[in-house]
Parts: sequence; structure tokens; C-alpha cells
Amino acid sequence: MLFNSIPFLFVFLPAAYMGFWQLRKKNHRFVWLTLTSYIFYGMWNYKFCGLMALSTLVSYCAGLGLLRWQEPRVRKLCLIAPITIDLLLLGFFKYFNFIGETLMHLSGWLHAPIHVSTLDIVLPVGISFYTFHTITYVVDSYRRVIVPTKNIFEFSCYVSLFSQLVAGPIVRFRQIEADLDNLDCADRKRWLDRGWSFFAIGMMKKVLIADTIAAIINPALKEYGQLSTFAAWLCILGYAYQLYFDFSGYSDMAVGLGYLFGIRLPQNFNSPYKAANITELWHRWHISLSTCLRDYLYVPLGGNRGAVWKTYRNLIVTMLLGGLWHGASWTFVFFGGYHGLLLCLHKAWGEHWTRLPGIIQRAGTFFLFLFGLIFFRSDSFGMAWMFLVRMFSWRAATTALPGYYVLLAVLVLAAGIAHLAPNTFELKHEWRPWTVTAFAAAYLACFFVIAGGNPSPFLYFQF
Amino acid sequence: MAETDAKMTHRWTLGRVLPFLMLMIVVMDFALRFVSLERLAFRPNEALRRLHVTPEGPYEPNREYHNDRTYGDLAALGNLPKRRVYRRVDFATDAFGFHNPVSRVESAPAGILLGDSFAIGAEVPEKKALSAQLTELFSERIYNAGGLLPLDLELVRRLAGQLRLQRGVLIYEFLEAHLQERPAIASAQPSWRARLAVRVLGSRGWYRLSGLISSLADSRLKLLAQRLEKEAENDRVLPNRFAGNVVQGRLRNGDWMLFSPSRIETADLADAAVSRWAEFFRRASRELDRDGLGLVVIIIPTKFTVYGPLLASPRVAPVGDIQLGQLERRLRKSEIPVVNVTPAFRAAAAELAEHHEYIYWQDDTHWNECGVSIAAAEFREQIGLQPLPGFIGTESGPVSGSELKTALPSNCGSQQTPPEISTVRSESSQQETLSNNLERGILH
Repeated sequence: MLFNSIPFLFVFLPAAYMGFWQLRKKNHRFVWLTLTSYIFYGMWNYKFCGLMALSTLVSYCAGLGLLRWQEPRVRKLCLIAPITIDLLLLGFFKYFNFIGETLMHLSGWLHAPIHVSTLDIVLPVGISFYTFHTITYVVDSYRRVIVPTKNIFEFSCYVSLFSQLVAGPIVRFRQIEADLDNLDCADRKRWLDRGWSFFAIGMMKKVLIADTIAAIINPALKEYGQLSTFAAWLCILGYAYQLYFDFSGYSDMAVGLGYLFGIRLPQNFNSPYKAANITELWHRWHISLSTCLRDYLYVPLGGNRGAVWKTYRNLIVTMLLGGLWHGASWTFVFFGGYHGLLLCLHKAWGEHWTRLPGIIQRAGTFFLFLFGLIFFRSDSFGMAWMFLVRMFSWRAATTALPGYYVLLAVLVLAAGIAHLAPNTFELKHEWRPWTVTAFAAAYLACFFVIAGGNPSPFLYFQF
Repeated sequence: MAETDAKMTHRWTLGRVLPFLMLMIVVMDFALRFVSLERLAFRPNEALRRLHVTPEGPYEPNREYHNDRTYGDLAALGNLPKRRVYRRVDFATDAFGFHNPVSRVESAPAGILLGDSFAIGAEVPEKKALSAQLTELFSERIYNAGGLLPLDLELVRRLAGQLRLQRGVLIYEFLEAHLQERPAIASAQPSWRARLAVRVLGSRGWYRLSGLISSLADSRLKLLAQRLEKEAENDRVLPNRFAGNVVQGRLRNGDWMLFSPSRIETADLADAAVSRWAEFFRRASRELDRDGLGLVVIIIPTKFTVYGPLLASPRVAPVGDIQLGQLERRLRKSEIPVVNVTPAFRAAAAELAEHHEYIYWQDDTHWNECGVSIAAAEFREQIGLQPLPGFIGTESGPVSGSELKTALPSNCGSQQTPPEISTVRSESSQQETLSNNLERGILH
């Protein structure tokens, strides 16, 4: 079920919301949220609910173990066992075929071909996200950053919470622990306007901006070999804004939904396209993932505590794995490696970069990111290469891109919002009546777009 | 004033307005579901679709539909307004919900025509539907029961009883596309819920209730939204994502022709499919014989089988004629009367195309009245030689070539769109779709 679908908006959300606020006791609310979240998840494929339940149960037991036992060896076991199970599940569903195919290619190059049979594996939606939820919970419990909960309803509610289940933000237990603990005291009206404001803004970002761009560039990108230079640039620019408005729109909707149920989810995007350098961009883009990678990978690897080359190594490794997290493809690995390299370069020569005028820094950062997106969007290196050729060698347009003027108009609007306007967390969300009316009109337009076509899935669902 | 503003600000908040808006949408959607679909439809299929569970025809009984600007299903599927060939449609249904002229007291028919949308004949004038043309040719009424598929012997028996047809012929219109389906003789067994409801509410009450429920299934608001979206997806505001639903071909005479992609794909296991259908007809023939009905099969090719050979440079050779020929031979071997109109259609299509005349609508999956006339004449020519139970028409001799010519309606003329519409050929979007199809290797 998608947030931008009729069943979600008109059946699931009202039912979940009314049911939730009818209940008074904390545990009842936990159970209700868990139940509705499993229904929400089961609408994709009910068979994978068991997988999520298993992951939840293993991590919950590990948390209890960490609460009970203090001996370092046992605690380590309580840390390693659930993480291993989680990563094995993730590895099997997401990377099994990728590893097999890579081994076959590699053995072919080495003239010792081996055959690894691939399996017809369906990737469970959101597995990358809820796996990270459980891993961060276990690690934080091990580090004694949090006290593991004894309440299985609270924990299962945290893992499966539908607003952030399938595409994040990757919420750490400590970030919503207080709200979960006070769920029975939550005031329905307190966050109502703010929640709807976040949700409506997210919906507009997704339906009116991201999907409009997608409707124009996706058919063109299918025929990427035929693109003119101008169209290639328009498409990659369009993709940059589509990705941002799609994912930040989803995050805003998730935050808004959280507010409606009395749970404050953290910020996931902080105007990344306003970043003046690549390090800052990663502090602003998909914040919940980048901070997870920093705290649970980069820092344990040594961070920047050792020699300079070790810092660079740690950055590269972290970003390579971050790239791989997005999907089982070498283009994602390249995307990660490319950003790792940029981070290293910025670490080495960042002071020279800061001497450039601010606007050049921002524009340069954006275009460096744009370049990486070519690999992020491409299904193969062949496609990425062809795209680069189209972008950087002149080829005149033979036919106009259908929807060209609309694309230009939406890109101007999107660029204005992304580069100049305050982001959703910077807004006060106290709207005057005419703004509310405008919101309602835009929301109605979203409804017509959703009703008129098939709701388009969020881009980050595939990761 | 300031106080009013403050009150307004207090009340007019997103937390109140958006849920209220959603509630209004739900209420409006529900209310609009009581509006007749006729207002939103462009052809009878949607406008008069049956909304109750009576076991007879596919449409609402005793209804009429008139539209001066109906157009083809392929033009609608591909969202290609410039490819629409507008025409008038007058469509009436009888008391059983089949496409027959408005009911009047009539004698028992000589036969029943069973089939799919080709037999229904919503795309041709009322008096030019296959059943009407057969009636005219044989001077015996052939009842149009198009839409009563899959074959349900119980329903056929019931219908024959209601029509007071004790001995006659059952003409089965078999479209080539059905080769891809598995044949089955269905049996109308109402569910226990339906039986219970009929017992409680009575059959009329149950039909009304189920009709009401069915009428609520389609959201008119959604239909309106889809229409708006299609308007926007015109390759200028937004790319037309529906264009891939149809294949645009160019004939050797330079005219365009739309095809359904699913009708171009060749069916796998064609021999097995032909065997299955031959066996199905053998069984059906035996069963119908017991009820005093003689089975006659009329085989209709799809548009691609007829016009595929006339394409400027076809990449996929139509093989439908071979499969239909096999089916025809097998049925003849089983002594089931059969009329295969494929060779006649191909010959007529080739001849008429030289004059920019067609036997299928350019923008539709279906035949036009020329096509129906040729099929009826071919039926007369072939069946006229074979004895059929209770079929008086067999007394007439076969139709000669000249008779076939005279059977064609005079306005079998060009369906080419007016000049302003014809210019779409030069427009980039249409060209692009065509060239995309070229690249996909489907057609040239």
C-alpha cells in the first residue's frame, strides 16, 4: 500500500487513526499500531510479514539478553547473533543473485568458469530499512546508549511502524523512545495541524512535482540512446529533482503521519541541494542513513582517529557499502565509491574549495552530485557511459521531448524550492486561511492525479 | 474584524480542512456513483453494461443508446484523439439484454447467433449487425445473443425456451483471438448466496439489489479523473503513456491502421489450441443436437490477420489464417458446418484497400458493416450448400460473386479522417510512437 494511493488515504489511514485514538492504554495502542502496520506491510506480500516478525523477535530477545547478562562474552554473543541473522536475511534476499552473477563473471574473466545458479528471489519491500532499525537497536543496547525495552509490543511497534517501515527514515529507538513511552498521554490535537501540514507538503512534492517530472523523463530515459545533448541534460537534471522530491516527499509524509499518531520522527532531508561541499551534502541528504553509516560503520572502522590514509580508507569503505545498501548492482557500488572519493578529496583540499565564491561552491557540489546520479539511475555501466556520451558530445535534437515545456516549468519550480526555499522542518506550519485554502486546492489536485492514474511507487522502495 | 480573523485562523486549519476535504470527496464519490455511466461513456459497451445479475444478455434490458460521436476502442485505448474515426451509433437492447431491435411480438427465430463483441455488433448500424444481415439473407430471424460467452448450455437451453425455439440452428461466431484461450463449456450454477437472496428477496428484488451494488462499483470521480489525465497526456503537456497500448501500422496504400498488440502476438502451441477448440466444438455439437439445435461455426480472423499482409513492410507475418484453416478442416472432418471468412476477408481487404476502403474500422478492433456484409454473404455462400436442421435458408442457392458485391453496402467507402486529422501523420508525437513500434520490430 502506498501513501499516495486511494486505499491508504480513504480506508487505511482513517481506520488506523480512529482506532488508535479510541484506545487509551499504551499497550493497546502499541498493539494497534503493530497490527495496522503488519496489515499495511502485508498488502504488498503477506508472506514477508513472517520475516519481519522473525527479525523483530530475534532483536527483542537479544535486547532482553543484553539487559540481563553483563558478562562481556555473553553480551558480545547477544550483539553478534541477531546482527548475523539480520544480515544473512538481508544478504540472501538482496545480494544472493548479485554475488552469484559476480562470481560467474569473475571466473569467466579468469578463464575458470563456474556456474552459480540464481534463484527467483523477490526482494521484501523495506527489508533494508527495518533491518537497520533492528541492528541499530541491538548495537545501541550493547553500547548501553539505550536501555532495551522489555515490552515486546513497544518494540514490535518501533520496528514495524507503518509510517517509516518501507522507506525510512531509519529511526533509532532512542529517537522515538520518549514518544513511545508517553504514547498513552499523547494529545491528539497537539500535532494535528503540523502532521497534516507535513503530510500535505510531502504529498505535493511527490505527486505534483516528482511524478510530473517522472512522467516526462521516464519515457525519454527508456530510449536513452536516442537522446539529444540537451534532452540528456534535462533528463539528468529532472532525475536529480525527481529523486529529491520523491524521497523527501515520502519522508515528509512519514513525519506527518508520525505526528498524527503522536510520534515525532527525525528529519531526513535538510535542503541537501543548498550544500556548499560534498561533506555538507551528505550531512543534509538522507540524514538517517548517513548518520547510521557514520555511527555504526565509519566510527567502528576507526573514523578519523588514525592516520590520514586510514581515514580515507574508512571513508571509501563506508561509502562503498552505503552505495551497495541502495541495491545489488555495481553501478550503486560505483556511486558509493565515487562519493567516497569526493569526500576524501574534500578532506584533503577542502580549504581550497572554501575559497571559491559561495554560489560556485553550491553549484559545483550540485553538479558533482548530478554526475554521480548518472550511475545511480543507470541499470548498467553501458547505459551510464552512453548517457555520459550523450551529455558531453553534441547531438542535435531531431524531435522535441513530449512535455518539454511542462518539464522546464516544473524544473524551474523544483529548483527554486530545492535551492532557495526553506525546507519542511524550517517552516513554522502555522498557516493563514488563504494558505490553507491553497493547500486544500493542491491536495485536491493530488487526489485527482492519484485517482486518474496508477499511484507511482516511491523510488526508495526499491532499495 | 481582527477577532473574526483570529476565529477564522483558529478554525480554518489544515488539521480540520484536509480531513473535511477527504470526507467531502468520499461523499461526492458515493453520490456520483448513482449517476448513469451513459454520460461518461463513448460507446454502448460501457454505457449500457449490465448492472444486474440476470443470467441473460450482457447489457441492461430494454435500453437505447445514441451517440453522434462514438469512435473506436483502439483510438481510446491508445489515447489517440487524432486517430478517432467519429461515427454515429444507435444501439438498442431487448428484454433479455441482447443487442436486438426494440422488442415487439415476434415469432420464434430460426436460430441464435452466439459470440463475442463481433456478434454483438455495437460498431455497426443496428440493421447491419451480423444477425440482422443473416436474417435478411435467409428471410428467417436469427436472434442476436452476442455476449453470451463462454458457451453455457443451460443458458442456451433457457434462452431457446424463452424464444420458443424448439428446433433450429446455433451459429457460433468464433474470433481468432479465442484460440489463445482455453475452451470450456460453462454451467450456470448460482452461488448459494444468490440462491438464498432470490429466496428472500424474490428474483426481481435480488436483481435490483445486485444491480444497485454493481452500479456502485465504478467510481465516476475516478473515471472523470482518468479522463482529465488522458486529456493532459497528449504528448504536448505530458507524454502519452497509453500510446503503447496500440500499434500503429502503415498500409501499402499509405493509410494508417491501428492494431491491438495482443492480437499481433502469435499464440504458442497453435496446434494444441486448434485441437482443443475442435474437440470443444465436437462436444458442444453433440450436446446441442440433443436440444434440437444444429451448431454452425463462423470463423472470424482478427484485424491483423486480415491487414497484416497489407502493411508497408510487416516484420511479423500473420499466421492466423493457417491456424484458422486448420480449425476449419478439423471441424469439416467432424462434420460440423463451418464458415471460415478469412480468405474472403483477405481478398476483399486487399481489393478495397486500393480504393482506401476497409472492412474493419481503422481505429477499432472490430469490423465495420462492409466486413459484416462480406461475412454474411460468405456464410450464405458456404452454408447454402449444406443441410441444417430446421434452417429454411438452405433452400436458397449459393451466393455468386456478383451477389456478394451487391451485398456490400454502398457506403463501404473511405474511413480516412478529414484533411485536418490526416495531417497528424507529420506530427512528431505520432511519428515517434510509430517509430518506436518500428524499433520494437513489431511493424513497419
